[in-house]
Amino acid sequence: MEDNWTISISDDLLVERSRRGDLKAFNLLIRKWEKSVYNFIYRFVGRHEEAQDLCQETFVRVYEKIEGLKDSSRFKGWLYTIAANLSRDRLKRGDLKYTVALETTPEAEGTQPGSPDSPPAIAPSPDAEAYKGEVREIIMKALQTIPEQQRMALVLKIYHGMTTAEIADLTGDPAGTIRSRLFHGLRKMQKALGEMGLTKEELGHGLQ
Amino acid sequence: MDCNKIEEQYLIAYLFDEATEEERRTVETHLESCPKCRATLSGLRATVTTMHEWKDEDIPHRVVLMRESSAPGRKGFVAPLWLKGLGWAAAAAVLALVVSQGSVRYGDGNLTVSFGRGESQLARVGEEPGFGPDVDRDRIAPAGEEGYDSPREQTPGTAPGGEKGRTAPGGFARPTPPGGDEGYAAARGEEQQLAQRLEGGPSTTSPTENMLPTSDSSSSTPQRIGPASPTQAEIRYASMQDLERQRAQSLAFFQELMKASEEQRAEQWRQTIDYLLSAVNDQRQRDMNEIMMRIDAMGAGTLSELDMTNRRLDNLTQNVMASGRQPARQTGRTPEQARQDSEDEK
Repeated sequence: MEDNWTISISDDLLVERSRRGDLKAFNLLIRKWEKSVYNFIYRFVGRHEEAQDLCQETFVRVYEKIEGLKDSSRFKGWLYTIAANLSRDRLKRGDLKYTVALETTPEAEGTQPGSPDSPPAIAPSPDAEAYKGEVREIIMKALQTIPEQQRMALVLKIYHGMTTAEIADLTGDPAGTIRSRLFHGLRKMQKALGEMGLTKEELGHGLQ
Repeated sequence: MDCNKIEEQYLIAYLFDEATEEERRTVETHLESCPKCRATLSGLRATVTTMHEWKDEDIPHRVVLMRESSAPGRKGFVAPLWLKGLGWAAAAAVLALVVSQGSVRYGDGNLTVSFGRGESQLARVGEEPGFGPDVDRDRIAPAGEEGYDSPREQTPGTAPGGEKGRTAPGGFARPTPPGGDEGYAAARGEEQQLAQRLEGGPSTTSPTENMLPTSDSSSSTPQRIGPASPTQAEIRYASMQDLERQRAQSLAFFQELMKASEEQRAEQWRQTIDYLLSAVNDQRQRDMNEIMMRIDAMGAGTLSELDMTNRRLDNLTQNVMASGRQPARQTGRTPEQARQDSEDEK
């Protein structure tokens, strides 16, 4: 919204200038992509603090390596690859820096979805807002139950509009593998959402 | 085709509109006859729709690249704000006076000053934001909400014309001086001049004497590196007084340069105008002469014609007088008169 104007600047230009050491261009590049990167990591990792940290780390890494990016048109995929690798490493090591997260893990969470106290981070607001927060919370928890590779593919596909080919390019796996991951991931998601009580009907009702 | 293969290979492509025409037909044909797969597809669709209810969230803290020194613990030369405000030309000048001899190079996040055969790490110049990724290791730090609200706003350290600055990888960030491209070459010379001038020149006063307070007056100076000697520049961290003085001198010098440049320009104009005026005058003079000559020539022609006519008239009159009492009647002329006439005609 407020940053829409940065979207109109092509990555090519910003990347080119960043490669030559133009910090302003690089900061614009950050402005343009930080939200997407942050949301990608947040959905993949499931924790705000962790996502913020990794988002910063991603851009540090991008800054360090951008000179080696020969084809600036591949910036987007390259950016997500870095974010994905950093996030995966962090998850693999299991040393999540921020153990005190606002969100509790689905396993630890005994609250039934739909009960009034489940969205902790959302300030008191009109019903629709609260409901949206609740829905988000449920989706996030459901997403965290999905195996990592499937979750990665799902997030990139559904929230970042990547094609199967792009995801395959990003992860280095064959397109058929990605399709398979998307399929099984979605099935699990469907199941998890159902178990958490979020059905299509309820959604339709809640988001009038 | 069996359901597993459909599910594994085609359903996802179909769901996300990525299927080829052939795949699409295969899936649709299968779906017509397979309620199970229809249910699967519809479930997947609903799930995607539901997942879309989680919208992108605003990033809680903006990420902004900030320059920070990478080597903690080592004291650096922190350029005060005014120096950043002055931009690179002045910074270079200050550098040049802090290091009057020896070489300076950037690299590995430090400014390395070498002179003689030794090399000592002097300082890190507070780089202005916007330049030289290789000069220093940068860190990205979260900024407060207001910290980086408008990317258009000028950071205090941005030099005039700084947008045009370029950094050669691993090299010296060449500043674009105020005035842009046009003044570039000139300013490069000016930088050197400035540096020389601020140094006071090797022959006049020693750089140390000129620019840096002596050890007595620099009790506030935190550190001193290397001994001072006529051939070796004194290297130390500049105190605020040094910097203030250098700043004043830099400004004064810039003002002089500008004034001199203005005067030079004015003088050039004056000369140009003088030349044009004199050229115009010359031309006008030449034109006047030409006109006069022509008028003269014209006048001469006219007068001589008049003269001739007068003389002819006189001759005729004399002839008439001479022929006396018998004025020539029509054709009754003597041969002598006729000859005389014809001579006059010529």
